[in-house]
Amino acid sequence: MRNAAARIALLLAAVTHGAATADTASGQVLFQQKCAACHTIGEGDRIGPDLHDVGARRERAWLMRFVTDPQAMIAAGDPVAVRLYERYNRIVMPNLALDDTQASALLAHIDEVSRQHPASVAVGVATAPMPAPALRSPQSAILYGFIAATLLIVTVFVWVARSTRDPATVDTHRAYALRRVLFMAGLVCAITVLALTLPRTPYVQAATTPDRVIHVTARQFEFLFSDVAVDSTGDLLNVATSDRITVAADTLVEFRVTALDVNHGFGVYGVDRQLLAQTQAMPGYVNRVRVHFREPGHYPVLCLEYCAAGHHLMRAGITVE
Amino acid sequence: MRTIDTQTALWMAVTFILFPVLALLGITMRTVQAGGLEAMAGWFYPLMTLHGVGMVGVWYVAAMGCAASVLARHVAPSPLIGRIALAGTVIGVLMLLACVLLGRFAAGWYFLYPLPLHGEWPLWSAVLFLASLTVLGATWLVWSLDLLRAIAARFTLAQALGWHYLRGQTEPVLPPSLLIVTVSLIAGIAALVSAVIVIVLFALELLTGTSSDALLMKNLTFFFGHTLVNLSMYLGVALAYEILPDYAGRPWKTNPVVVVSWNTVLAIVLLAYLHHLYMDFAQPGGLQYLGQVASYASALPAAIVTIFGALLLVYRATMRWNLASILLFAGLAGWAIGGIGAVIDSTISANTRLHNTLWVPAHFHTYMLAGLVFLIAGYFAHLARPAATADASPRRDRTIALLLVGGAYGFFAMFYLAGAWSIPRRFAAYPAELAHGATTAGIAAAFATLFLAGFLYYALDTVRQWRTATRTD
Amino acid sequence: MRTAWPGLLLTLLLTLAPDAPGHADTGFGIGGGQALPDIRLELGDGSNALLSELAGQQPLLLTFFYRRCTGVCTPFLSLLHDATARVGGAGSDYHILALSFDEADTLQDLRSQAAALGLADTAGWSFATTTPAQLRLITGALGFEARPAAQPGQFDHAALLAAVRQGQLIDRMTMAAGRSDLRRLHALVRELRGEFIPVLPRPGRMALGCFRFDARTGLILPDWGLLLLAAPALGSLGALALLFVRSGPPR
Repeated sequence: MRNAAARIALLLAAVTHGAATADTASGQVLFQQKCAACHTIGEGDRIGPDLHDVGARRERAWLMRFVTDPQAMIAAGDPVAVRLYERYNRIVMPNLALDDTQASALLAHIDEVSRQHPASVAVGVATAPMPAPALRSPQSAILYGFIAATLLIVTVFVWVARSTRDPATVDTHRAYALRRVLFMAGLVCAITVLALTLPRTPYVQAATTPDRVIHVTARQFEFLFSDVAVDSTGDLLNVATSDRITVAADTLVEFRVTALDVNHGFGVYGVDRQLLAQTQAMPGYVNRVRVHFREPGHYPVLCLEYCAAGHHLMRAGITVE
Repeated sequence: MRTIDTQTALWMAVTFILFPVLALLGITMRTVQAGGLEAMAGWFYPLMTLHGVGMVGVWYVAAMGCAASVLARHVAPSPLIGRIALAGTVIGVLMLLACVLLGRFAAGWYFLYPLPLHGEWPLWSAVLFLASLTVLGATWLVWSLDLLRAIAARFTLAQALGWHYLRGQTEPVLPPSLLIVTVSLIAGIAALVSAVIVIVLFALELLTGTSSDALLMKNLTFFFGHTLVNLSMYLGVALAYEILPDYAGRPWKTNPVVVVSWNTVLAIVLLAYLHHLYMDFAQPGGLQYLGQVASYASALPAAIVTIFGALLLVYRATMRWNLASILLFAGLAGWAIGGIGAVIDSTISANTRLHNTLWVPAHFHTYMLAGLVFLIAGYFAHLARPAATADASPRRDRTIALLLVGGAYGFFAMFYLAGAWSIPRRFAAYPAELAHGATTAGIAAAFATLFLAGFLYYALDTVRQWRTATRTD
Repeated sequence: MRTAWPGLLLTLLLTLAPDAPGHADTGFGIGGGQALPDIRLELGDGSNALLSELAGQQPLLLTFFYRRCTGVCTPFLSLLHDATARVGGAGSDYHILALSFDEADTLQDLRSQAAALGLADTAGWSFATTTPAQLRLITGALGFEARPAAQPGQFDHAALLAAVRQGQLIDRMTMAAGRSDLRRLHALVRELRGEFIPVLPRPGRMALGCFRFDARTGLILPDWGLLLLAAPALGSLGALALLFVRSGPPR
């Protein structure tokens, strides 16, 4: 909610030419480039703390020092800096290489947004632990099939092990005949499974058109949805993005997924909180994955490729109505 | 000859010291995921990196060390190169420990490009990590080349690959273990060359700022990662071929079927890694389908021939069951079970639901822990126990086996269940929607502790038996 | 809340077009993506059409220009013409609309612009004008900006090309004066013919890649980096040759 509002504010600032001061406008740019991946202004903690009203919580001089060289402050043992470092998983804030003017612009922007909008907790993120869901197909078929195969293997091994209580000479010719049969059976089985599964790949077939195309840009540690492609960090200034979208029920959506920094995994979970589809988000490439959203409900998106300290916090949400 | 030579004993010592420590890191990770050990939460990803690289490395060198000791029964590897391999490995491990423990390096064991250059850790730790891999890679490459040289001194390439059996000749006799070691070493050299290319491209970026293609790096990374793990497993299987016949009292010889199956593995194994890139939709479709076909094709012949061969060897044999033979036999079962999990995951349409969920650690822990670790532990047990006292305490052997098997499979079951539930792998903490992931993590930690207790019991007992045996010699 | 887009669009409409006519909020998208306002167009041949009539039947490439532009307009239209001619399918698979954003442009200007590009009778191309209010709607929705420049009659602006399918914006590119991003341009045109380009150019110097997209031919070509994938196997074979051939075994 707040996110969208902030972006509308940015757009308004851009289209009405100078409604905001130059200071906060460049602060907005800096925030988007250097801070937004780890901090929000009023949407709760991410990798680092929520910066809503941080100007009221800390002294200006402290903020200026921290923003320009956080690592030196931790090294110098500043009590507040060290406490924050301990509290946020001992992840050191990188040095942003800002000069004093830029740092001021950044703080002015945070103050401006804090003043205009009250803080709110992000929508669509469950906070209380949820009970385990019933296993859905095809995951259930995979698990039960695997258990059946395992039991078969264990039975055969146990049976062979117990046979050693009653030693005898084994007719190797008969055994080799059995091996031939088993090998042929295995071969037929493998070819059958190949024939059944190879046509059911998740890769997009050219002949069909999706109902909707949504571009997804991943970076440490957020997913950004947009109507048009984002090819570089610079594009983020011209393109409206959000980490939450709504789509109509029974819609075939094509996600075009890329990454700006490292590899990420775009994993779409169903309303039953089990994987529905996924593709990798890779810098330099666009992977497109199609998802047919049939049921209304909340579809969480999680990062499925390890991407450093905030990996497990990187998420987005799709609401189907 | 049943006594352990010094070098194998040293590899055994490396394994017995490093494995419990690395396993403890793994248990810590599962505990953190379960919501315990809050103070360690910030260390999750560095520990994960250390656990991953450490385990892959330890069991690779253990398998290579055992392979070298098997080879020494038939050909003559250089003792000097063996010592260099040990020294290089120790130096590499120390560098690795420094970059993770001092620099909190945490790019994961396969350090997928360009993550090492974009993390919250200092650049020096990434450089040290790459340097440690360079030391390890170079050492292992030299070691692999020397082992192949030793084979080449007695066999032609065609003989080492058993091709003369296809023509109906049985001379010179080629033990199956030698055939498998040859195949594994050839694949291993390719894997290590691939690792060298990855490291060179990283160095290029560090030194000149020239970036690399993420898809290319991913292909190269999984080429070496997958192949290295895969061939460690094969080296373990070679151990079973070598010593299981001693316990069954029957021969397990090379024949044309064995030759064909392992040559098929050699032809296909370098293509199987493609199944790691199924979710990279930009990879050309043809390679994806090739990945699935190659994965099936590399699993089928070797597994059917080896598993069937092992079962036939033991079936109604005058089997001498002790810890060594139990572990070898259970290790082959673990390989088969983990293999089923792997084949399921290498099916593209299943992979879209399983990729990077806990199903992945589920299957590789099955064939690494209940497969490779059991096989190597069985081999060490075999070497450490002189034949005369081999059946000294069936009760103790059974206790150890029960702790190991029970602990391991309880631990795996939680991974498989969580994988089917789409719980992502490599998450330091689970979101509220996936809170059941934390429950399975807690149960898994308990089972893993049981396993670790069993392993420590096994290691102490093995060392004690070995010392008793050397004293009486 | 629903998606940010309706809110965003609404805000834009309120800000940019307080005098917008009634059908401003009757977008014609179907999937719930960003629907474009259905503006009324006056075409170069003097006829009238709604945007939905052009974009409803066929995918649409939409760009803005003005006749007197001494900057990016004519070169960009010419690049677009070149791209559509190479890719093919204009008129059959998709339609191209060049919309004037200068109130001073007349029907005669539209026709002379088309003629200057050799597009006077080319199928699939339309040149059009619209009213200032309607123009603000469509430029607002697509994020197109033009400001009066220092020289009289000129505007500061970048070229914009929007791809519209089923009435929804599916992608957009901008090209500033003096920069030519042929890859994006060709990729957008190919998109409307059902082709998809998965390879993005990366900023900065890059070592060997796997594939590259050749904008001119539209082919995704293997690059030298693929050879590196063969290197491990070749290295292994080389090692075997050295080890086994050199130290021939005692027979």
